[in-house]
Amino acid sequence: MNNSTIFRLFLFFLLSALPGLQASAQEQTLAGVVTDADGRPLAGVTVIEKGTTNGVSTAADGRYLLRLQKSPATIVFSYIGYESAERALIAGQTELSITLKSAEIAMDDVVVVGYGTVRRSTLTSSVASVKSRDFVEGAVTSPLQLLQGRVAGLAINTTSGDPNNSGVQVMLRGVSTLTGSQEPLIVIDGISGGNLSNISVDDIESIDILKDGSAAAIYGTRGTNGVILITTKKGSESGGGVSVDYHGYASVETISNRIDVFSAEEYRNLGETTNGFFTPTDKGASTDWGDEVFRNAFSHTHHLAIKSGNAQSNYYASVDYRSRDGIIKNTGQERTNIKFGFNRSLFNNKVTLSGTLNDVFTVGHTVSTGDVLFATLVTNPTEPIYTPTGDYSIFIDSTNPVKLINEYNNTSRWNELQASGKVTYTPIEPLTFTLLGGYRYFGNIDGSYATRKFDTNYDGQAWRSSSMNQTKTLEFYGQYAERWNKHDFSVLGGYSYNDYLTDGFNMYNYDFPTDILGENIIGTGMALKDGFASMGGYKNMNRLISFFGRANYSYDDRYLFSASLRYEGSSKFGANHKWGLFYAASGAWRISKERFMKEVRWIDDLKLRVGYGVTGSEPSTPYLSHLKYSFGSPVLIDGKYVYTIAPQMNANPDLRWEEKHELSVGLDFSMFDYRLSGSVDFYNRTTDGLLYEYNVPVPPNLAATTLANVGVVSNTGVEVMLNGGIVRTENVRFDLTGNFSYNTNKMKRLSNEMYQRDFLELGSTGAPVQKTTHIVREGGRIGDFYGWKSIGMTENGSWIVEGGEYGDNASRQVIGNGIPTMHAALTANLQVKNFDLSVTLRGSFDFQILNQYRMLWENFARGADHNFPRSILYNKYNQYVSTAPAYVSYYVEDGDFVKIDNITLGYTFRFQDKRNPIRSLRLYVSGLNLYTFTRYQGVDPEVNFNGLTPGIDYVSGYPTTRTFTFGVKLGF
Amino acid sequence: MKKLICLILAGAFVQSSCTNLDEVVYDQLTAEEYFANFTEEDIPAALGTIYSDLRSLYAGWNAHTEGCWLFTNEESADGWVTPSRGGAWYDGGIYQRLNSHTWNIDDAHMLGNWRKAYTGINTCNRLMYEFESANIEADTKEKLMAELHVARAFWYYVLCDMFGNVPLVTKYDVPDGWLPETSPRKDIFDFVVKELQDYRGLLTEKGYGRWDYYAATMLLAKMYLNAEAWVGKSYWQEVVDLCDEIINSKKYSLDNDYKQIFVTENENSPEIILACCNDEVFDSGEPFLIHLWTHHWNYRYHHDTETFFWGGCCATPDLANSYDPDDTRFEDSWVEGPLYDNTGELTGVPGSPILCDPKDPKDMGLPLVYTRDVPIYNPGKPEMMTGEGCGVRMNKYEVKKKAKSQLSNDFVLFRYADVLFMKAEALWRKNGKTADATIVGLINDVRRRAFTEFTSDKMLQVGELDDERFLDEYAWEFCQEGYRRQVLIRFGVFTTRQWFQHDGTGEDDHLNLFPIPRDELLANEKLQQNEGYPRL
Repeated sequence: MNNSTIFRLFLFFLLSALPGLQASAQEQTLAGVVTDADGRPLAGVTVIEKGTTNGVSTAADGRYLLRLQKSPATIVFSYIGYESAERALIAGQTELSITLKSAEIAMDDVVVVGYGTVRRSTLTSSVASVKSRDFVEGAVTSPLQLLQGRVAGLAINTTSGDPNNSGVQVMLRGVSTLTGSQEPLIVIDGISGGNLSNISVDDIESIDILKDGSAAAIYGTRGTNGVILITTKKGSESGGGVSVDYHGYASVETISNRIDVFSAEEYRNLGETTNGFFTPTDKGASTDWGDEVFRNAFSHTHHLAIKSGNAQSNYYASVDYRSRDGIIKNTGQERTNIKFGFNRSLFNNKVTLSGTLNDVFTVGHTVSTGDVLFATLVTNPTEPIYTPTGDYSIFIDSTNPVKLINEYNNTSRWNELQASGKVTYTPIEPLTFTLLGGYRYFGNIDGSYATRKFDTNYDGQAWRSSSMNQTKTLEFYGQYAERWNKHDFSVLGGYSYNDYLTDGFNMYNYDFPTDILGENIIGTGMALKDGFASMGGYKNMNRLISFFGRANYSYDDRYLFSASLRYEGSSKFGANHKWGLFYAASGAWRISKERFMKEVRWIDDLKLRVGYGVTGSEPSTPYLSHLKYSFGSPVLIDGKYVYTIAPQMNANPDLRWEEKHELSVGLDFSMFDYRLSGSVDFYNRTTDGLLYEYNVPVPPNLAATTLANVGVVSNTGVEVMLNGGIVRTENVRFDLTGNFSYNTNKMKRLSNEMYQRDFLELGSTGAPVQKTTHIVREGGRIGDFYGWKSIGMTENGSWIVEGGEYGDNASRQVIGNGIPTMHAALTANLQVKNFDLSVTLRGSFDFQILNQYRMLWENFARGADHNFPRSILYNKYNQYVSTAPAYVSYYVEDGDFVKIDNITLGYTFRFQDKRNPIRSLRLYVSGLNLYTFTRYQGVDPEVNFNGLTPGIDYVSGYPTTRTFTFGVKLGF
Repeated sequence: MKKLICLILAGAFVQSSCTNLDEVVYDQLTAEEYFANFTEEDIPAALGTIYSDLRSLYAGWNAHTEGCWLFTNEESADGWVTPSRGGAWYDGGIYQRLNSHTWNIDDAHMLGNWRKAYTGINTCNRLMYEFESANIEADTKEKLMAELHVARAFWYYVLCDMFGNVPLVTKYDVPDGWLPETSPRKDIFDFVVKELQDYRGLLTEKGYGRWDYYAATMLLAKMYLNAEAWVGKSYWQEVVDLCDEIINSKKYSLDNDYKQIFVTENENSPEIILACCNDEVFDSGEPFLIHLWTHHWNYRYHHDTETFFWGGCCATPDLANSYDPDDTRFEDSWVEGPLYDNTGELTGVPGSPILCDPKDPKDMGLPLVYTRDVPIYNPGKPEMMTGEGCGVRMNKYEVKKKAKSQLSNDFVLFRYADVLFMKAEALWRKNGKTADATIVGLINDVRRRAFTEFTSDKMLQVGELDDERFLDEYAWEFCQEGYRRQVLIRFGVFTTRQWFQHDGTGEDDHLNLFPIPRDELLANEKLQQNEGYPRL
């Protein structure tokens, strides 16, 4: 950087920092035409003089005329669906025509990569970005649902419709742990550890996902599952005065799919239907148990945001209120978010201060939801809800569903505060120091009460608990960038400190004088006096400290290199492995910048990327590595009960992180004038040192198992993303975006010299089948169902299984796998004049689901006093099943599905007249989880795919829902 | 400005000691904290672990599936069986394999018993090591050490009984990476005898629920009684002498009422020599659940309890049918007959008969009746199923009204009646398996309380006492107490006797010991498998 640049910059900051000085400058006008990439004029484009409130809109022919207030002025052009453009005028310039790039084909979006941003064109690894304009409009529970179907390789499952627990599961590039979490690291505005369900979707500006190991390695021991970086909305820099935005929507939710069980009438006729095979027990009533507990649930959300300011000082403030009922009666949640953020530049922009504050208050109500769906399915439909004496009817294998929703209730209140402050200091232009401090506090208080009617054994039972956890973050980093001729060079170095604390207690009491006051008078339960009340408490901490650095070099924007290092330690690790080094290197070659590509005009951009990165994952709980004494059960010694004390666990000073090595290769391309763009990625990731419990001899060890780093698993996959601008005319735009991913994993090792395991048999079919469902073994895949392959039925209704007899362990085989190997999604956006329509399809393929409900209940052996699925009449082998329920492949169904995830139809009013107080208005209707194409017979094929026992549909969760939404977006 | 930032940072680095990764442990004690503050007041809490370990012989939420001394030693013998019923209690066949002697090295019961014993041994070794260096008065220390030695000897007695050839570990502070090797059964036997001889005299004379002098004496007598079966050497006179020592002390006597030994508040029974203490308030973590194992889930409505039941194990028909009709011990030990909804909660009408649920169609419409017969619904199938109500249920340990899942009845490990039986058996064997008046008298002393009128036809006669009768006498008196397998092995019929689905033909003697579990062989390659079992 030469002296004149520094001088110009100095002058620029000086002038822009002192807007008042130019007020008297001589009036000047600027005129021009704004067009799109195809040369068509754009009407309604906002043209604003930066740092002022001075602005106009373009006319139908794309022309504008602006009276300038400053000199020299900078002009900002912005228009929905297009990249904003900013142009500095030279003194005396009176004309400026410009072409706006359509937003989605703009290759040079800024991408957040952790401790900084880069231009997409210079990225050397796979980072996916989703901007707020691409978010699904509708009643999503978790911001993760905004990413559903948007990012290849990031599989997201919505497994529940619970308003208090979205049940959203995430898996990035397969399973790379045995016992650890599969959740990606969430970083909100630079602060890690936040809870995504506690931020308002409308406050999010963009979401960036670091997929490659080479990109995530800068996050060290927390990078293995990928990193999701959330950037929230900021104050306005346009200087356009105060703007107010309102977004409100109302939704109706219904159960996504009801399993077809017999109605009371059909049940009564089962004797005839089955030609006497089955004799129903008619209890005289007609009850539709589903109707008794499910409902169409209503919810509404209101979001109001105010922002204002200019480049030097600005703020953003918002309030969000959401009230949501659940489809199970008596469940729901109310949530209020408050957010405030500001930026302020001082000392000629040498110093900027910024801060954000986000606080959420939530009240959730729930009932004994876990058993509700199951009870509606298996309870005899001729049973009355109440006995003649007014008590709840009692059933053998299920609890009265109406009792479940009326006689047990839980109220949970929580508050999550997230505050952060940031100071950046730029002593000379290419050198910046950043100091970031963050504090996150989560506190909750929870109470449950079960009445006398819920369990007649007790005169009411009450539970209370309270917990808190907090995170303190301090980060300091410096960045420096330099450019000589065609050489671009930048470095980053920093320090990060994270301190986590968890604290909580709980209590339980029963036998209360009354049910009316519920858990509010928990002290009055007689169980406390009798010694049967219980109490518990816990408190723990852990700390993560790291030093990190990154260097980027590029030559001529053609050859790009990036390398990062993170030296990180965690208090959770054993004494012998306190600190680990995580590194990454990646490079990219922009082939399209080569001279020989100049002739290939149809290719706009072509980039080849290669990266290698090492990341880790921590053990999930602290205090695992060394010897501690804890209190066990009390015993009688010399006539007095004393709590015994002893070490409970083996110390493992070798405990360390699971370490993942990932090699990835990718290709990014844009062609036909950016009408077709996309990327292809291949990766191979191997995770070493997987933590699992291993048997060790006692003595010399204290306990029979030790948590040790032993196993190795590898994941290989490919991801494809494609964006196409299919139609571009003056009034019609049609875009298609699709993605596809394939992943397969292999368990490479389970044992080493010190710790031995042949295989793990895991998962449970539940009673009365009582078998394990899954196997993990060397050479196999995680998620393999291991059971008996049914190939027919004998005359007396017993299963014929391949290679032996049912129940004989030696004749088991792999009969499916619960993890989809393929995910795909397709989004179509159509815009006709002011109407827009978007449709998203999403599917997962090549996996199986153990339909536990069918396995246990598509079976007349369960006895007469039950309801059954209608499928009980249509057995493949033309026989009614009435032998003891069995874990055979007949109940392991293909789970492949395609969903119409979302359809949104909207209309946007465009107001040309500046005097109109309404700046913008948009109305839309949308539907979520509208229809599922699948052969799977359960409620929803989107079942758990995490952990070591994926793909079991227990029919025990909160059923998923279908949502219809009407929304308004209003800007003043 | 730069200076300011530098200052802030310097401050932050120094203040927070920027690379400090020490764990602050809030809810447990670190070893340093624990030992730094150790005083004599901490002894009961530290020592208590050997008694909570002792409770693992029979207690715990999963004791029936993971294996425990009581369940394993009864289920593998002739008096107690757990067939599948009501769609449950198959659990991979572990119970049925125990009962029919087809267990394998993967069965959970092998691992469970092994681990519980070695956990007990490890605790003793650790406490010896910790107490050695702790600041404790010499007298107190001597008594404590003796208690630990005897407690450890007990666990080696259990291992010697069940697994035979096992590693003998007597130290806590072993070098890193050290792994123990298998010692022959003879060495284990000698070790236990030696330890008991050396340390029994240092114990408190009498203390309820503790290893005292007489408990250790009885343990030594049990070692000698089994010596012939275990290591091929007989010590009959030693057994008689040790039993006489207990008898002559006059500290114990037979309870007048057989039932009283096992009631909810049984701690005052004069018959108990060693009990493990149970309490419904304190034991919620590791409860005594024999009533849950055995009773039908709807027994709750019959007996008006707070707890539900699991409905698994029952008496074998062989045992149930062997009692003298006038022997009150049958009724004191087992529940037979129909169940009624005495609370009215199930049917709405108090006193109505309870029907089978039926989780199995064969039980459909049947009244729920505990029967002596245990028919197998699906003979020849790996999963032997029986009806919900079949089999008489364990009732030796009284189940009080309103009982919770955890019973308060103390578990009786050693009792006076057994001393009389041991003496009788030793005399009988010493005498070449010929009875005399003294021998029969000892047994009749115990039999007497079982009959309302102890007429001569109810008395055991000298001429009646043979192996079979001795086994029956043991079964009637000591069923459900955990000793049956040991008794059958001592009488040499563990592999040959017929009961339930155990036909007793063609079985090899190696089954008198359980195999070393696979998981232990995997974890320590120095271990040797018992003869007749596969290495892995």
